Amino acid sequence: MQGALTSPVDWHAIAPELVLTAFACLVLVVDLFLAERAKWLAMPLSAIGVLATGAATLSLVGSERTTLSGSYEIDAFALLLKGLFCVIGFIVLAISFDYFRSGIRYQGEYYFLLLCSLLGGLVMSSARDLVTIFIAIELISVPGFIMTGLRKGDPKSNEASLKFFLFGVLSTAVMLYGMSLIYGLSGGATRLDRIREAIDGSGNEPLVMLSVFFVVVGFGFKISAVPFHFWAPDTYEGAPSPVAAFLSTASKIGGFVGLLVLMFKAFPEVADIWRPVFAVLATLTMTVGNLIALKQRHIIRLLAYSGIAQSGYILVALALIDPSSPGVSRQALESALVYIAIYAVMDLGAFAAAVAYARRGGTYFIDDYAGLWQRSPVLATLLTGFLLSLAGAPPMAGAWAKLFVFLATINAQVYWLAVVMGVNAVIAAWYYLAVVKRMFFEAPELEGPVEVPYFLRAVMGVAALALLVVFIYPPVITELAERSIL
Amino acid sequence: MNDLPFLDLTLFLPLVGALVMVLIPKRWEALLRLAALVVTTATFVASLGVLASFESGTPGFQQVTELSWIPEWGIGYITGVDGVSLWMIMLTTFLMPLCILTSWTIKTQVKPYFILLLTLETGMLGVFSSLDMFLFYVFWEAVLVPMYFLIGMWGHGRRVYAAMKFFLFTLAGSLFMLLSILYLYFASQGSAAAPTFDYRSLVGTPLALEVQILLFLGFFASFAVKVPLVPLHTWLPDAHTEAPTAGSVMLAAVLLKMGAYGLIRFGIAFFPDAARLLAPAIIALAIVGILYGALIAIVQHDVKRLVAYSSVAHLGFVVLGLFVGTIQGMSGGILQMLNHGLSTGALFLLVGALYDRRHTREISEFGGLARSVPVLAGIFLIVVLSSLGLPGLNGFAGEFLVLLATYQSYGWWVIPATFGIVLAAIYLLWAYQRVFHGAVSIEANRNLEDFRMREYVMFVPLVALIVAIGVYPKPFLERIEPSAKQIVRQLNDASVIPETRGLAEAP
Amino acid sequence: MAALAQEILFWALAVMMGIAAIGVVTSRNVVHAALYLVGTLMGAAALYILLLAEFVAWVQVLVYVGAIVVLMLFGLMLTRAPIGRANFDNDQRLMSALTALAVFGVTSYIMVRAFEGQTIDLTRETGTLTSSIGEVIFSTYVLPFEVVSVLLLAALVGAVVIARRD
Repeated sequence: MQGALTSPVDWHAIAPELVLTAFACLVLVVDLFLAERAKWLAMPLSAIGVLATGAATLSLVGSERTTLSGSYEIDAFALLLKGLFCVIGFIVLAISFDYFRSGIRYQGEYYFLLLCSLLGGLVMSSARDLVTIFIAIELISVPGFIMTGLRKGDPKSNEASLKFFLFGVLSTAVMLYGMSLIYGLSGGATRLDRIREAIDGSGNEPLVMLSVFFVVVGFGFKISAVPFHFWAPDTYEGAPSPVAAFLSTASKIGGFVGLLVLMFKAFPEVADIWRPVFAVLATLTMTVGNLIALKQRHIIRLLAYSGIAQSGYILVALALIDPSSPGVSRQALESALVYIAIYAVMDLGAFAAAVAYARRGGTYFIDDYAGLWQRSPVLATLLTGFLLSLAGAPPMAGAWAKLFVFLATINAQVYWLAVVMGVNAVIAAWYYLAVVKRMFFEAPELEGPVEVPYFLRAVMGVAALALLVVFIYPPVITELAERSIL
Repeated sequence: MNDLPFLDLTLFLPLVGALVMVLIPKRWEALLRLAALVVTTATFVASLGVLASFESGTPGFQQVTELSWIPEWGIGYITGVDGVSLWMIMLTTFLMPLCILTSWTIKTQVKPYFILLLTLETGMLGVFSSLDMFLFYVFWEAVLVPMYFLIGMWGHGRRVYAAMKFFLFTLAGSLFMLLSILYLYFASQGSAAAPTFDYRSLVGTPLALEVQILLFLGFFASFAVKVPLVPLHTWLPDAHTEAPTAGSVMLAAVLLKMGAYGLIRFGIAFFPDAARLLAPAIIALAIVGILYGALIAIVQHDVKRLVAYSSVAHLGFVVLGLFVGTIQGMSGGILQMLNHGLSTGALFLLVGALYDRRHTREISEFGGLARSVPVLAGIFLIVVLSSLGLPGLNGFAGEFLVLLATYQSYGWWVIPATFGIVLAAIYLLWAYQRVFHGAVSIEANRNLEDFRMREYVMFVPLVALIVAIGVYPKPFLERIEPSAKQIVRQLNDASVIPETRGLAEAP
Repeated sequence: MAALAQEILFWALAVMMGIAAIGVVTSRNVVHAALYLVGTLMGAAALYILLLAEFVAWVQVLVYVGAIVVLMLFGLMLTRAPIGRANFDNDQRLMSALTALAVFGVTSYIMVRAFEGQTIDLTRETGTLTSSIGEVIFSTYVLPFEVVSVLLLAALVGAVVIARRD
């Protein structure tokens, strides 16, 4: 055990977290002194904070370092995800601005909570220690409970918040129980590499299985994998829509990062035990998510269920890991990273378009998307781009995301899972296209133009362009992912 | 002159044109139309460059461009032409300006319409010129999106239903193809130095027979939907009928050929043993398609639907030719692909011209049109005759070769196939008679405008080509034959290579 | 001799905690449930002492018993929340009992199998010293420790937002 003085903190390594924490506190304090009319200034301040955090992350590129006795690691994997969290944060801020400025009090508090949750994501990316992982996932979730309930006058929002809270707490308890078992099993180790060594020789297969199972169930709630998904659609629908966008991307991705790190760093030796669990989870998640999405008439619910189905594809990667063939595992992890990155951008894009439409002359009901093309060609085209990407159709990056998962699956020779994914891709195409169909092929029922704020329009445009560029030249993202495997 | 990469120029000109057109304000409709026409004509000229630099008599790929795309996965940008793809590319670039011309009558949403048509052209050309399986798959999928919008936004009647059906049918098929492509990729890893999606390295990958059959069926699922083979054809009548004229032309003339092209290029070349084994079953399906399409066509009362069903029958001949296993059959099938593109494309254009004049496609709404629109009627007759395979016109050469080859390899199977030609004569001529001859029963048909300048410009080159192929098919066949010969050799000579791999022990 | 005493004490505490825990979930009166909870939490604290982890034990008493449960009781009294037999029940009693029993059975079976016969000889040296806890918290776990403060701040702000009357 090292004393405080013998292992000084590497301040540069945790610079992004420090910057973000500073800005979060700054937002909270500044908000106190702002007049009610000027409360919106919290948003540009937060945006600057996220950008500064991004800059701090960029300053670390190329360095490989660990700090705090190896429990906190800065490597390409962590940096890629930190960068992604910054992007997500920025887009969510852009979506939130119009929504919160003209509807909800507590703008300052909202942006503070958002930054706190984002901080959880940053910590999660680097955490290589059971305690840190646990704290990170909690920091991601807890502000989420409150942000969900910010529409205080709306019973739906209250219900959403309460549901999310109860499920969140339950999953935390289960996860923590599993983690404490692991702690006991490994003779008091919290660092993942130590746990890996300890488990390898423990010979306590049933107990390892049980504890891994508890941990997976806990994370299953966080990533809303079927059958732990019940909270997600109600929560997304009731929450303020920008919060729903945040939950379906940052929150979910935080869960996936924790899961990936744990499975790759702590439990690879016992992969035979949990691989089938993930195969079943992935199949259920994709299929159930898609089948229920077919019936949705509310765009946010549709995106919620489609998001559930999408996370099934990321779970596939976890079902492919095989420590005995590093090539297969490497490819699986790589495909998961590519999928996560592309999913975040396209899903946020779709949410952004949905929120913009609902705030400016439309509703959340898919029926009211009829003829959007004639009312706002730009918005309709952008939303179509995001939906096509989610469906995995060219010319958007989503096509590659799916293809890489297919590639990894075939490489691992899990053919039945590839067939399941294929069938699901067709089902998913149906409901994404159903929205596109309404926008382009039907006559408008609502009147008047849809005026999207310029800032949001620019952010959506850049997101769509990024997806297009990645489609045309995928090495942009694949090489990044290749370098960033654990 | 040979230094210019004509093929890649042809491939991307339409896309670049589409991007430029995005910048033109949507109010300037005349300029948009003109720009589309200029771009497609320029593309055709560029493709003439491909034709001019094509060396006939060599079976392999020519004018190959190789660029690295995703090196990590062995995915490259590789394009090239051979005798099979050359005429498909020419057909596409040739028909595209005609489609633009026939779309002069599109009055709503002009800008996205032409942009989508141009994007579609790049997609189709990409399918025919890709030599990298991944690139091919991407183009294959990319064709779906513009076509979906073309049918859904500018189609007729049940356009939304037709568009969705088209998209989902094709997507479902193509996913099976994707799985097969990926399997092939990993299976080739052992033999090739580095894993690659390069078509030329993948051909000849040794595979056990049962694996070949499974993968062949994977590809077949995708291509058979596109061709379409009965019973996977049900999307076709809806899509063809409800699409706008240009969409129907592209669907019939080019998109269906993508399926047939895929069968030759991938189905047969990758899995010769499976193709040989399954040939009788596929031929049986093709013959059923010939008869079924023809019989259904007879009872149609919508001209466009009739033409759509005739496509089912004609494509049956193509597939028949591809799978009988002789050079004549293969060459005939490929030539028939070109012919069907020209004839049926022309038929759809003519039906579009009729629709523009009368705004109906019901046969009973017409009658005696030969008197009011004699030129249109004359051209229609030539095209109908070419479609039913009259000697001296283009349809004859291809169908004759196919039937000859079928007789040589399969004997009496040729009888039902030949019967298909008789049926074609019945439904086409009967429909022609009801539309153009007889008494003028409906007043609106009495004073119709005959061909305009724009339509002359469209149909003169088309008819010229139809006659040219019919009278002198040699220049076409001599470019097809070397490649056809090579594929047939692959189909017949290859046998299960001793060093095979089953599903289980692939890498 | 000391080991036997420890064993007896452990089982006594365990049974008490079990009964109290069942009381928490079966009691129809909220105040009773809260008091039962005190019993469970105190039992856990006593167990920690038995394992020579007095720091954790006192934290347990201070935080859980002292702060949380007392706060809960205050909350119940000061807000006009229904005290007494409230309608917090539903018809899932049997299902939850079965689930709980199943989880209990499986977990304890596996745990017993995994650690059967293993003993740790607890002395002053092997037990968890308060000073060593302090040392780890401020070296290895300093980051999670600081992050927890952000977490608590967020929860605090959130609680204010949620509780405030608009």
